[in-house]
Amino acid sequence: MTGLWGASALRALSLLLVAGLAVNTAHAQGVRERTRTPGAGETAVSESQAIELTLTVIEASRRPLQTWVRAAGALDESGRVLRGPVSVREAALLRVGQRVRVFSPESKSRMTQARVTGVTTRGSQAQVEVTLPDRPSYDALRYVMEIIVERGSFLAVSNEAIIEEGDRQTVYLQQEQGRYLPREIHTGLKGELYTEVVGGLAEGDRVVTFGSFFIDAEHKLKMPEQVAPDHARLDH
Amino acid sequence: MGLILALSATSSGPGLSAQEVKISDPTSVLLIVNRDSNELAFMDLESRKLVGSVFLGNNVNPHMAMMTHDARYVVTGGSSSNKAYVVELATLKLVKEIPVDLAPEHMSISPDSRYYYQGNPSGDSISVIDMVSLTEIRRIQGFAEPLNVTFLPDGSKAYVANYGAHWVGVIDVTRHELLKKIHIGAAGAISRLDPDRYLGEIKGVSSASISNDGRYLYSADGDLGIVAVIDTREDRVVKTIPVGPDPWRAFMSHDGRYAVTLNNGDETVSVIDTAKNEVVATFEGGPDMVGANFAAGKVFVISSTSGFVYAYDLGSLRPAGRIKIGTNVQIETATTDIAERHLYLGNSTNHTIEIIDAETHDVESVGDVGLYPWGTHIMDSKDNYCH
Repeated sequence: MTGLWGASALRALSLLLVAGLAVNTAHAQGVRERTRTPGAGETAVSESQAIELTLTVIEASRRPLQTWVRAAGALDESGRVLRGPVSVREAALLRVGQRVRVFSPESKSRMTQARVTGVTTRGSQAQVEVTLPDRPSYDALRYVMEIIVERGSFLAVSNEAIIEEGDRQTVYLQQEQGRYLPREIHTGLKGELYTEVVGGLAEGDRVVTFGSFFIDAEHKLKMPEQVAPDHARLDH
Repeated sequence: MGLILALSATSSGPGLSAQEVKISDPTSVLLIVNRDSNELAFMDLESRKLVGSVFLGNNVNPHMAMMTHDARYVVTGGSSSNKAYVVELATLKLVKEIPVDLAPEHMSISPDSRYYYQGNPSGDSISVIDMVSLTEIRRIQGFAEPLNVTFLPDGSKAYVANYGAHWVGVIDVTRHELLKKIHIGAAGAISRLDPDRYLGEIKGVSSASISNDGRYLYSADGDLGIVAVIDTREDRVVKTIPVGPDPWRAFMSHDGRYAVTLNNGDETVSVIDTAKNEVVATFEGGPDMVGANFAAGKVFVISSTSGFVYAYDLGSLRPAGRIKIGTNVQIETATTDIAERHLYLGNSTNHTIEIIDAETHDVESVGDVGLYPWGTHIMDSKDNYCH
């Protein structure tokens, strides 16, 4: 009995030691992470900061872009057809059959699905016609029309990843865990969630989304000499 | 959780080949949650034929599913697998499985489709899933059996109903943090009268249902037999309205005029006029009422174990008949189409979807949709809910 107890105790002690070592190792790794000098131009973010910031990284990849054209429309006498002005530039994006989310300004928690049934352009003025499946169940003088335009698939990153400064747009790329490097990019179409990247990024690049603003601030604070006007030169 | 590294799935969208696209119009399909065949099935609303399904894995038991507002994805929580699942809607490909907390059930999507809040009632937490990186970026703790989540129309705050307590949690959606607990009534006095009933198993708040203007929330509390009206500007209760015993959530009529509670304690239905915040009608209902849908000027109340759907005319505030779905069947929840003409009800005994004509009360049964259809969903339907 004693022997058995002794063996169990020994096993437990070994486990504790191993666990303790593991904790020490993890702690030591954390210290090394903090004390290691970042590479040239890199900004380091500790794990605790990353958690606090909800720091999130995605891969740059081809994604479908949507633009939501918003317009205000009034119902005609049928009670099912809405017409409202849009800009000529927006009208160029609109097609019959596109999906529309309709709601009154006072009632955005209740959406009605509708379709674009007509687009007319005369000179510098354009109008969109949207048809609802039925009369709306709530009365309003004007309705908001959110017309969902599918733009196609593009190499894109999410909008909040991009830091805009004057004419320049910068994203932060993850080099390794906790290390980030700025990269200037050129953008194309801007969608609701994503922005097309036409230069400066390749598919698979790991881009910071949430937390990019913090990393940018940290970068400028700690490396002022490297944040000269050409700190994030486009290298493509 | 550590640093969130999200190697997100690549969505394809309009660049897809015709062969890959299974659903080109997200508004044309009914989404069916098949609990026991562990799949999401999609039925064409016009032809009433299945157009595809997504198997999620063994022993997943999906509970509720929703399409994101931008129609990129369908999301569901596997209550037995403790995972959230993300399916690309156009191709019906399962693109991501995300570990969450215990027994995920109900969820909501932020108005901009950016966040998917998954309630984990057994873990007493909400998982915040970023729909760009497809990762859980936060797990908000401190709830008590969180069931339904409601976002404000502007997406600034989300309200979490706690069925294991008598309060509604307010989440700051920018920081994903619990800001405040809105206590909707005191359980102290009532629990002293019958501790076994009121402290043994709490039946608290199942949902915070939003008014059309987003200004007020209506939250029914099961134990207290009340509906609390919450002002979302001040995040406080401005009125409590006594209804019948054991009310199961407040269902909002599409015109915003009424809030309807299903009082399972005495099998009645209360209709609250939201202009006066008073009960204006009480109807006899059925046992185990789990859902209410609005169409053709009526409210349809689903009595799960009786196999009947009860109809009440909201114009005259009088009963409008009951619809027999079957004998010895269990019926679940329903969604209403955009035109508000048909209800699509899950019949978990017969593995069918029952399509109810809201005008005539005729019922058409669509069979072999999958095992144990537990819930249904139509994009932007005003009656997307679960039980």
